[in-house]
Amino acid sequence: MKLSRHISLIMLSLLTFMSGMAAPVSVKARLDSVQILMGKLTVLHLEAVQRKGEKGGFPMFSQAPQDGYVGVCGDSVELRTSIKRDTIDLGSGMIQINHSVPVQAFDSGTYRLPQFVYVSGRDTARSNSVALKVIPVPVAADAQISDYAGPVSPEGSVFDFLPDWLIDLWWLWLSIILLAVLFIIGMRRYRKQGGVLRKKPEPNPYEVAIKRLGNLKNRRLWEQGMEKEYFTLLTDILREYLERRFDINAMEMTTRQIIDSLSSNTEVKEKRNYMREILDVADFVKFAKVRPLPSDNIAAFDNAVKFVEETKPVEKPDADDSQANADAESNIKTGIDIPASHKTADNKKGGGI
Amino acid sequence: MNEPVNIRELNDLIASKSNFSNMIRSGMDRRIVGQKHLVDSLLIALLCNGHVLLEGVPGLAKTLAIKTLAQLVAAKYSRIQFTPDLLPADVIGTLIYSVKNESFEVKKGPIFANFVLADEINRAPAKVQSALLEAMQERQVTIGDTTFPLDSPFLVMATQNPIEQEGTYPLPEAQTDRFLLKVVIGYPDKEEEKRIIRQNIYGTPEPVIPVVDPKEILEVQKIVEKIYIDEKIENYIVDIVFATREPSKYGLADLQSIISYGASPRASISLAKAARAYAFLRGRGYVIPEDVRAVCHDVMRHRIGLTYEAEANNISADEVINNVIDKIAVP
Repeated sequence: MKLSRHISLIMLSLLTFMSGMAAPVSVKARLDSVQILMGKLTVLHLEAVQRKGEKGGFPMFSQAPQDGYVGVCGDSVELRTSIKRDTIDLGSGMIQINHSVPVQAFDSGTYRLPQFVYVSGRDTARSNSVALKVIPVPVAADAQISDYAGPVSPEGSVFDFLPDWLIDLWWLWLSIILLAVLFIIGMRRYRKQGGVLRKKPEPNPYEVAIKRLGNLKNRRLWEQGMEKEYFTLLTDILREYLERRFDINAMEMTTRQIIDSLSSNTEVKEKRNYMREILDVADFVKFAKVRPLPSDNIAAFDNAVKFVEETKPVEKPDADDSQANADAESNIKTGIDIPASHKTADNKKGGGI
Repeated sequence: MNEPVNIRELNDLIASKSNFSNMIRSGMDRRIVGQKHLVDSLLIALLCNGHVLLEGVPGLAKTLAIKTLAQLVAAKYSRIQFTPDLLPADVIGTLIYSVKNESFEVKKGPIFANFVLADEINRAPAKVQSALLEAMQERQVTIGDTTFPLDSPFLVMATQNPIEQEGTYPLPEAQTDRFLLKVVIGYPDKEEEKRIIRQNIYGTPEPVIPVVDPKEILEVQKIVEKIYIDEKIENYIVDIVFATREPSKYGLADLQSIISYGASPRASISLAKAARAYAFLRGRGYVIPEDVRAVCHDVMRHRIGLTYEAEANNISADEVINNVIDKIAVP
């Protein structure tokens, strides 16, 4: 008696387990809208419940072409095969797969959509049947009859005329344009600031020559018996001065060439004798082992200073100065006293020819 | 000025011999119109004991110049017309069998003279050119078993015609290097041409009277050897020569593709020698950069090899030299 009770309990629990294991596959159908206008779309929701891990699907859609349709109700209703699927885990080893099927019809009338067969593993389930009413498009009989619309020219854009590679690499062109814009902006700022590293104003050739002559004098070379070095440095200073002051390539010229160049320069023609005396003595000292008298050394130096002083560049009035003068004149007229120094930039140090 | 005695003495010596060059110049002027540069070049070569390669079209008084120079110096002059069938023996001499003496006797060639004009040197084959150039270099000639020293002073003036190149044997670079100077002479100007016409159509030219003795030339050559060249001038010469070898190091990168080979050390020697002779002609006992520049073209133009690119662009050696001397800083 006791044994039979145990057996019946085991059998009962086994049946309970088996019933759980053999949970039914089900499918439910519903429409978003049971009434649509001809040609309009509605969505058919097919909610299939099946066991997790099993492969399931609607056979009627599986053989249809992608992005095509399956005709039902005598092909009056079209079920699009562009189906969206969404899976929900229901627990207990079951899942629900929601299929959203676009539905469209081009014939008016009331249709009962067929039951949708769903196959999962070895189980097959059928959905409920849903009805769809397709309403014809109302025709305005009294409306003015229009002719067929003519051929419409496609909307064109400039991109249609560009080669594909140009359009495909749009990011590259965009980057180049951006870089170019940045470069231009950078250059403008650079110019405005006068360069990243502000250029030192070029020293005046006159100032340089006078400074170097002063240094040469301070070195007292000829006093130490170094007349050759003294005259070499003296002529180098003068040659560099000529090069920068008169644009004469004096460093690569012989004495006669330098004198000839000075003779043809109206600005310095009168002063060339100073240079001739210096260079003639320098040639003796540098190339003929001649030791000049102290008076020759002093005379050469004095001549060099005279030459540089007398050919000192005359500073041209700055454009800003003339502007300041004009402003000063206008101040007199207007009666407002604006100091010229407030308007002018620092005078350009050093001068041109 | 307290100048050292040697330069002062040298200057005095040069001053005492200054009439030497003046006499030769005036003698040359009486026979040759214009061509001052040619006369100066011949004097430089003579003073340096060198030789001259002369390039110019026919009729520019090349032969007359060297002939007159020979007459002014009272020296022996000979002219060799180079032709394709010329043999070395025709230049240097040969052994001839004497029936009378029943032995071989030396028959000296025209090279045994103080002044030799090798006319159109590029018309003779290489073996004849080599015989002449060897004699020029060695200043001696071997005929048979005997070596004969050549006369002193010995100056060869070889000429080349720049326009007729067919059937010629251009002198190899190694041979041209042996000439101290390569002088390119051009046409006289209108005034000179008029004087040439008058000189040649009215009467006979006055005879050339010797004004200098060959011994005096040898003395002057020794004086020229004493002319002082400062180290600064040596550096200047070296810089010029090196700039033809490595132009890019001297800021002349443009010349790199134009020069196939630069001037040889013989060019440096010749430049120094010629500058010294030029200084002598200017009455100086020392060389200044101006002397170097004055002789630079004549000394260097045949010692710089130009590439095909240079020839295609019509760039001459003179243009290359101009670029070089305009770039090298003068001491």
